[in-house]
Amino acid sequence: MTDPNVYGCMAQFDSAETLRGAALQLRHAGYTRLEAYSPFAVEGLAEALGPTRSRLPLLVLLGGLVGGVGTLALQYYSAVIDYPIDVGGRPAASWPAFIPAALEMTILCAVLAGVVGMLLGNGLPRLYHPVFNVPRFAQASRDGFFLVIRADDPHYDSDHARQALIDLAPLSVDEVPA
Amino acid sequence: MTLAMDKRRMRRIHVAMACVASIALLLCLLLGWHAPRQALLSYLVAGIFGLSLSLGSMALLMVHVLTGGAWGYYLRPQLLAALRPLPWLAVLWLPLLLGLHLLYPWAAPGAMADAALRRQAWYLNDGFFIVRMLLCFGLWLWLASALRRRLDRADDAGLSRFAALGLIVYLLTMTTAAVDWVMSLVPAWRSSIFGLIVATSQVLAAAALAVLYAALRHRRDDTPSHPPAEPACLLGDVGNLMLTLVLAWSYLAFMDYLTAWIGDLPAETVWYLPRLKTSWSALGVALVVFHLAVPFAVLLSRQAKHRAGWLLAVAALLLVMHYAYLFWLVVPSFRPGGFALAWSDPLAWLGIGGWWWVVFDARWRAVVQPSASAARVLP
Repeated sequence: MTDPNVYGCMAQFDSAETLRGAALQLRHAGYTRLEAYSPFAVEGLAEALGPTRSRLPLLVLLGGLVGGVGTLALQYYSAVIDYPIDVGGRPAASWPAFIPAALEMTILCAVLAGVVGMLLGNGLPRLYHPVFNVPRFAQASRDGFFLVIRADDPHYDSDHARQALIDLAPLSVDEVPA
Repeated sequence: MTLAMDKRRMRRIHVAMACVASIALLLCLLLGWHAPRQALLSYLVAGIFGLSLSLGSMALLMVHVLTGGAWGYYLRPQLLAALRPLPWLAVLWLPLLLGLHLLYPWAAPGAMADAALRRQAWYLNDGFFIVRMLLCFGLWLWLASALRRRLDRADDAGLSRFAALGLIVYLLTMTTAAVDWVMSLVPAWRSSIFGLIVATSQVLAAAALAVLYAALRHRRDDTPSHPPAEPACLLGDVGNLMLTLVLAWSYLAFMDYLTAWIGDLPAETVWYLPRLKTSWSALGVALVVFHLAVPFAVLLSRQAKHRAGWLLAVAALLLVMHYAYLFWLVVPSFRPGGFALAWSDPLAWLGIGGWWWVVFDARWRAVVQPSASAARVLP
């Protein structure tokens, strides 16, 4: 059974390519809850860690729609219902002139929905994360490439996970306390 | 063996298409006897359509020289092949010169009686018009051949400088050409953004054609040479490129309409009124739906962008809508009664488009299947 005091098992690799290869091999071995840390974005690493179903695109779409339709409604309300003014004989509901503001608000609300949704989804900003319990993890922001098998993985077994990581010829393997 | 057979089959298709296109052009000429002005209009739309694909491809190649990226190498065979028909288009432009007096109000016999046209005569007169046309075609032909030569060379230090200058020249010449050939059909109309809108739509049309061929090739796995490195990812990239261009065209076209609508002045509305107050407005609605809304909605989806079938459909739609857009730019002012098609419209499109396609497709096949030509040399 998983130990509540263990977050997972961590291995350090010497390059982005070996990190990506290791992630792929662990995926083939059946692990699904993997985390990878690198000092820079590694192409193909996210795909190697496994498919993710994100609800963020839907949230961004909804944010954009709410912003756009809401701004059109606001302009219609203020120009037609609340305070109609005759400007050079143009119709009060001047839809072409409503569109630029609606477009800007669509983009603003879509971006805000994306940023807020991303922060809510990934739990940032975060004051405590177990991976920092491993001292050498500080290298992840310089030249270290780390892979973590999380303890909540259905396949996780302390000894097997450690052995699986050692088989990938890493620089080091550490257990990560929770 | 199969490649050689395929090549023979394609050659037959090319010959057949060239025959059909020539017959269409001949019929167009006959119709021109009967209704010269409408035939010339159809011919102008079809000519600009062919020009769009060639010049847009040239602009995309130069953009890629400046930005780099895998998408450009992926689309390059199509873009380079699209430069080939450009000299032919220059030849096909000559009938328009003969019909100048029928087509353009400022060149019509009684034009000098009109005070407004007399004021514009320093710029809009036969001689200067022809000089500008020759200058534009000369610059385009030079840019296209120089670009092709420089891209063939392995490393060319001045390439990016050439591309940057080339893009500037392209925008300036295209603005000149768009004002001369399209805007001066309605001499009272003016719009300073017009050249940029036309140039953007040209780049979009060229991208659509290049993506169409890329997607076709992706679907048929019988082209073993030049395997694309990561097709799904690249398909997504070129899908995003089309999405951006759709948005850029829509934004510019809408801004032109918005300023005309807000300003409400004769110099701008003179062009919009026949398009919006008659049954031509249906074509405008079709442009908003099929040139903006549908491609935008489809290209937003990542799943759609990574499927060759979807991209193929969107690219084909955008190509068709580019023709519809050029039709919208040119024709309604001369058929003010409402939406109307002339027999010469499809014939001119088939004639010029058919010849363009034959030259383009033959070149493209020679580039992407070098093994086929090598196989022909061997016994």
